Amino acid sequence: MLHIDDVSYRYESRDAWTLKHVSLRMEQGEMVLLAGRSGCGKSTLIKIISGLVSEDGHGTLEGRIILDGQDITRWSPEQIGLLAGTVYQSPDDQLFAMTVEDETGFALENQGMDSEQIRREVAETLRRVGLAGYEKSSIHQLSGGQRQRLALASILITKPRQLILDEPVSQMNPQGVQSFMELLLDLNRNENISILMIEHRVNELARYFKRLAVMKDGELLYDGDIEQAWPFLTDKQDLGLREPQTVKLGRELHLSELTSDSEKALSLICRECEIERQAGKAAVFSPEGSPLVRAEGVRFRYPGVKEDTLHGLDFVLLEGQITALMGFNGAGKSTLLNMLGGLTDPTGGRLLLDGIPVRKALGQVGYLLQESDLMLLADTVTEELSWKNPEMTPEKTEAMLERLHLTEYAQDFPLALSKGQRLRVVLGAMLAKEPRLLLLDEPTTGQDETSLSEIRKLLLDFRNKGGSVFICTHDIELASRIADRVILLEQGRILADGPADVVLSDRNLLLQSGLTVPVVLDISEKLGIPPCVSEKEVIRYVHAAAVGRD
Amino acid sequence: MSMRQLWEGTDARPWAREINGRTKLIVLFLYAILMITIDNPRSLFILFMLTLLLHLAAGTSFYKWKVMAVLLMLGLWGSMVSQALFFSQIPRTPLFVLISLDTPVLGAVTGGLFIYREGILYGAVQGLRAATMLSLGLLVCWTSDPRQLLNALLAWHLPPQVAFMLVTAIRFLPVLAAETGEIITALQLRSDTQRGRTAIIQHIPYIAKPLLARCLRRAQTLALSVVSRGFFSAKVSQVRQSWRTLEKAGCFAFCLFTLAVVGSKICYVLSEQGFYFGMFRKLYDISKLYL
Repeated sequence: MLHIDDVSYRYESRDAWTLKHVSLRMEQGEMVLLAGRSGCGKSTLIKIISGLVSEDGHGTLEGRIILDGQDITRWSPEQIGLLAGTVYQSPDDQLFAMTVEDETGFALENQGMDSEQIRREVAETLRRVGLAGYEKSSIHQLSGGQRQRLALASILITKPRQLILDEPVSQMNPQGVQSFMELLLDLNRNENISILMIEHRVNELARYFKRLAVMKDGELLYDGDIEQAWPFLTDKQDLGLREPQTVKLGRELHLSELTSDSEKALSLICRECEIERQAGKAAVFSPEGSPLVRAEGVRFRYPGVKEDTLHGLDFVLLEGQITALMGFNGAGKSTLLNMLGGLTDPTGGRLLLDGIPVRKALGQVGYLLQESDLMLLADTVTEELSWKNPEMTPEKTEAMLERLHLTEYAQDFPLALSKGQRLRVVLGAMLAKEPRLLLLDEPTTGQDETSLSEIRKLLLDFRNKGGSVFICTHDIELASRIADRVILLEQGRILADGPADVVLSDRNLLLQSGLTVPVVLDISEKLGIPPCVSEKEVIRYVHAAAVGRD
Repeated sequence: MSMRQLWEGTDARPWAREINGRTKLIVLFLYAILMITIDNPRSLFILFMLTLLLHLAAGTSFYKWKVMAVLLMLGLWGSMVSQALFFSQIPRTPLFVLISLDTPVLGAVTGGLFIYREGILYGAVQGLRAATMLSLGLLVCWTSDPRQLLNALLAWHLPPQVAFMLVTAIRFLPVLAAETGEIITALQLRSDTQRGRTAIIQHIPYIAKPLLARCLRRAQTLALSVVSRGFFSAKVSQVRQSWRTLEKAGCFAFCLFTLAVVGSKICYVLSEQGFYFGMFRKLYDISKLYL
């Protein structure tokens, strides 16, 4: 049992309290999802529970933390580590050893356990997390999801009663999230381990948790049943939570109850709304812009590899169009992006931008890497926006800062900003060069809803001014909201290429490409209306003006 | 092989990986003393070749050999060229004249530019010293798990915090290498010239900042992670990798050998200063010939 009892915390260097009278009680075996915008105090709370921030650590801590009936407020992290294990966002940062076996046994080694016993415990723990057989593997040979499982294993080996997870799935694709969450559910059910998880992606995780806690400005704003949270959150969009599609749909349709359960949402819609099955479909995508990029039989093979990664791709990217590139990990998406970004040349075929090879189209392509932080090079935001950009006058910089909502941070060190702000700075630096083609690699990773909405606005604005956007993403919700067109890639071949609403509403195509089927698609199929992937599409056929509502 | 894999120590042969961290660090330390003590190019060359043989025996991959070769060649070549040009000790024998004293303006400004025979030799000796330590350092890095070295330092009762700081760098080498590659890519993408798209060297000054910022974040998380797993309160003696008798004996023998080398070199240097003892004549001969 974990009891956070009226905890407040103030860092020595700050005047304001980072945490203000936070109280939260978790029973043994309970799973709680803790959400809130960046900087709301979630990470500080986790540090306090883990014993990493205490009065000895130059801050002021008030209140008590009770774990397993013991007051651990002043315990050392080592002592707490035996009762509560913490898993962080990036597995790369928390793994210390080079092999799976060594990493898993690290905590037991520190306890002075006999090496034979450690070996047995390691084997058993790796079996529990689905990594049996990887004992001798290098940690760098594992996929991102496997590394996060390893991080979990290295904690589980000490048999903690409480798990604390700080955005552990923020960098995973939908399959990775599902698999990791199923593992956590198993641990919770079979071993009665309590789980406290911090995450923005409430939309994807709501079905795994019964309880939601929401923080804002160091205070616990909501703590209770997850299904009861949605009405409470209706007028609090500034919290940055990504809500489930069914909740957003319910809100659009003014349903009497907001729910993340698709079956329940379906029955509410049937009961309370008018369904117009014959309503006209939205205008079908028609390529209107002039061709910007032309790929003709584009092939690529990595040196020393026997097979092509890309097998003769043919497509045309138009001006004034947003194209989403989706597909399984390893389908060749990043390879294609790198070629479009001019970093590598095709080993066969042609890739032309306005008739010239993309590699020579300097300044016409902006490419935002997935690890966008690594693109921040200057000392201030202003400097960053004008870095290697002689066209950027002070007036233009000011206008760009305003567009990015970063005016008040103009002189701040870019790497010290929040995750969403950092991404906007890099995106701003790209846009400042006025490229004709903008490439983005998984821009939504780890971003909260507020930040996503800002990014969407910037991209739509760029598209409306005639720019072409090519975005590589696993996020179907994002793709359905902004993309005009979707290209699905499978093992280096184009599986589908067409209007976003057509491609994304094809269940078979989505499954074949390793994407998750949006809940709204299920609902639309069951309602007997044309397939829809976003709540905006559903409301074309389903109207709120119905009986039985409050 | 990716940049990340290049700096990993998990693809070496098992015997090399299983050697105790203490043995590796002792050998590295004693080798460094030998490199400082010995001036004879032939002996230095033999010691250098020995490190390459160790790489061969440890199964260093072809890609890692290529990277090491580039680093070694650059080090050796740089040292020899710089010493050949700027050797200032006397006597010195010019082999080639690059700028003659009679050359108008340049001759007077530079005082003539020559390639000196003694400079080449001196540069080769210095280069061999650096190359040997680089080669051996890479061998330790490529055959060791950071924990192994950490255990070694802890076994010598170094405070865990200090040992952790010393070893973390090795843990982060693979990640740093991968991120450096990504930053170079980012710089190429943000470059405003066609040359900047392909050049790497001109981007080097900009690599440090994002890399350091990431390092700080990573180091903080790693520290939190190991602290909560009880690292700093570890019960050292019971669990650390055992130090085999054979390894201990090897280290002891190598230690004696190093002491003998250092001792004879000191005797030889003293003899040159006038402290000559007839009974040590053989020792002086050996020192002159091989050290």
